[in-house]
Amino acid sequence: MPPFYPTHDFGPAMKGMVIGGLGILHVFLAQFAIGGGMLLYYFQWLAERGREPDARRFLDGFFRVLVLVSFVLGAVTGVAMWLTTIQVGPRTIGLMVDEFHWLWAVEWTFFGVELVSGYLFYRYAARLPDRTRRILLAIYALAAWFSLFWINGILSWQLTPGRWLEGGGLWAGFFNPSFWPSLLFRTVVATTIAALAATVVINTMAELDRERRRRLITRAAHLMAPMIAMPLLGLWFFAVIPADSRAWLLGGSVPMTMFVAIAAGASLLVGGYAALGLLRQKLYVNGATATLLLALAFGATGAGEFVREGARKPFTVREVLYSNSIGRDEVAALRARGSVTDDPYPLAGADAALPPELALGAKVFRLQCSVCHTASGANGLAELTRTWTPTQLRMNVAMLQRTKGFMPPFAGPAAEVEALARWIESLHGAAPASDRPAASPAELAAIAAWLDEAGTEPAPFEVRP
Amino acid sequence: MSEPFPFGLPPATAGYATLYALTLLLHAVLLSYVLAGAGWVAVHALGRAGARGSAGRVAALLVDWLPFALGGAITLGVAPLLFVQILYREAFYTSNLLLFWRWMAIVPALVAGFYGLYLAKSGRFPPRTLARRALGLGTFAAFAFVAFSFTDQHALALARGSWVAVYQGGPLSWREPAVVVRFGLWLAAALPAMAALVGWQLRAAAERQAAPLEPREVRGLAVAAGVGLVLAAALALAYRGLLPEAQAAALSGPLARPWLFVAAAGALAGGLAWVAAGFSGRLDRAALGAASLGTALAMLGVIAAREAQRLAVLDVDALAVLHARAAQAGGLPFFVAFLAVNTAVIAAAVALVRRGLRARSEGAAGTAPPGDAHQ
Repeated sequence: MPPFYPTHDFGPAMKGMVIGGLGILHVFLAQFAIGGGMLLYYFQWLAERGREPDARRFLDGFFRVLVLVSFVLGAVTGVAMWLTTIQVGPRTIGLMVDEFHWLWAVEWTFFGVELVSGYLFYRYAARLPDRTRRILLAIYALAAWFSLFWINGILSWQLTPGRWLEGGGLWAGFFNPSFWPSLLFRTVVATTIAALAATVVINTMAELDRERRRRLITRAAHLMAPMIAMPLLGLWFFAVIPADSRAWLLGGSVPMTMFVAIAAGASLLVGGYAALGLLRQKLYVNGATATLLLALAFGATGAGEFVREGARKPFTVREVLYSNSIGRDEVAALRARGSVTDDPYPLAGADAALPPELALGAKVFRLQCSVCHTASGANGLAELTRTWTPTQLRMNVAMLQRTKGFMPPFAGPAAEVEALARWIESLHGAAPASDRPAASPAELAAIAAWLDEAGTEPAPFEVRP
Repeated sequence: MSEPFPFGLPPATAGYATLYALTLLLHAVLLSYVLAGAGWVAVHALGRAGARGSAGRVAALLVDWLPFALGGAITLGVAPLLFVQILYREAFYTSNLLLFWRWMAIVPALVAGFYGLYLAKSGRFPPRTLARRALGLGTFAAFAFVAFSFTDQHALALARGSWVAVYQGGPLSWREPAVVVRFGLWLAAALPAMAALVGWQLRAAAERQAAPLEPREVRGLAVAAGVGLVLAAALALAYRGLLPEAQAAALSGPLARPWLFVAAAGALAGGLAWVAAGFSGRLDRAALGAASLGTALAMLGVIAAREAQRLAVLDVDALAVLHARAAQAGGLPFFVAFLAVNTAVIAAAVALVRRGLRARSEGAAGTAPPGDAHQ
């Protein structure tokens, strides 16, 4: 069996919210860096060809912003992503590292190129001839984009492992069905974010009059033109993801559908403004509007990342590892042995004083549920189950993947279902477990029958969700 | 295991361990520059010398280069972070998890330190002001905290027997006196590494400006390196005395012992080179080369011994099975190829910039200011 890892209580926040929040920030900054490289190359080209007299002035100022925001926060939030992922799912990151460490190491070599070329430009650009500046920026932009290329393959593999599941090996997993739509979509997002950030920076250039700033903004908006491909890329993405994930995002789950709508709606607003206002009518965008558009892009990025994470349910690596870090092939053994029988970590804090049956339930919650649920905070079990009858509670937990198609199967014996149910009932303010009789053999047999009926596999595709 | 690290280990384990040690060495070199450099800048800001004097020249150089060095250190840290997960998965993950918020606090500390470096470079705060002193101290404290946290996390990874108690007691319940000594050892060892790198930078600047290094600049670096080496040696002995029996025995065993000799020899060679440079007041290429090589060997020796110590308390046989499985994942040839290509790209980019700067300075001969005109 795999090792047990200590699990922490994040209070009223779901663990997914913690990693999601940080992930969104990191993705936004990283995509800003990637698009920023392309934008800078474009402005260098404009300056070199004499097409835009203020291009060089903007470029040097923008690069400083890129360095201060992206080099610092981007790099550090990248490290933070590793550490937070470990906090939330060490088995997930372990599996990803096992499968893709050499490709991650390849990405690392591109980080090096990005850092050195970027810093050379930052330090010496003012004293370099135009051609050298342009080559440096080309190297920087390519290295930044290739870092996206490599990580995109690994992240998209989580949702659509494709032929990797049939033993297709590393490249079958890397160039998985959602690799290309995902990569192209993210590239468009990157250039859009960079263009919007540029409009903010241009508005701070008080030494330029309004007309000169407007011209620069129009130039920057050229990088938003690829947004026109976003609907197609989005449809491509939806076409290649698993059918159950698609159904889950497109109406099967109202919250997930709302996030899809937020991502699409915010992108539409930004894209519409770019196409009609900036590119067609060549409008001037003031600092406040530019910041608002950037905030909309941040919202779209956040909603998009939420959708990407949510679409994998009940898996964290599709068909292999569930969100609670229990392997698909481990459920049957845990049903027989008990999911927390070998867990060496005792309950901590107030839970340490729980009577044995509630303690067992609390440990089952900690192992199997706590990655997505809290006791009574975000996605709290107390609220989700408040109206269920005792029988309903036990049946729904025992047949979890049937109760909700996006839930994993319960990975423990009937006694653990009963213990978890009693622990949940204690959240509702039920009488202390010590005052209630233990479950009868008949009650446990009924739970066991439900477990057997649901089986140890995830819900079939047509049921999920 | 009767052979020196990594020989005698199962092939996959040896391969990953070697890569880990080598990439950690690269990371440690720049990390030392940042840690000791930030310390130097902080001490300098506290002193009365202000921006003048040899120490001031070194401090100015450090302020100028520390942001890049930190970016480099973080980037170079990605590879060992990758390999350590393959090598020591459960132990590494568990210590991460047990230290929880105390461990995650390194993220805001790094952000604060990073911006502190840029703020210092911006020249916004004049020398000898309270703000400058606070900035110097705060920045160093941020990096010291990060370095201490890594030391702490490593020690907890080896203390499997403490895991359950730390889980019950919470992150603050983990207190291990040896960690403080170990942290002190790394801090002291960072000084000679920083001195060697700064030495090369000063030499390059002196060559550009056609002005020889001042003897007091050389002596300042030599004293820093010497103090660092002596302190590191003393703390290493103290640390060994504080170790649990199994780990102490591992350091005396065949896996680690040869590497400790390498470390001692490297430190001695580096120390002698610095003594010679300090007395002569000159930092010629040979002396600096010897000091650098000695420091690198000392660091490599310590890193290898550290891994031998770690392997002694882990179930190597069980891990070797996992390492062998991980090694079956494809992609190694691509990594080697891209490492070569991208190293060449980096070298080409540097050469391109040098050529561009030379062309520009030749074009404006007689009018360009000497040295770096930094943005």
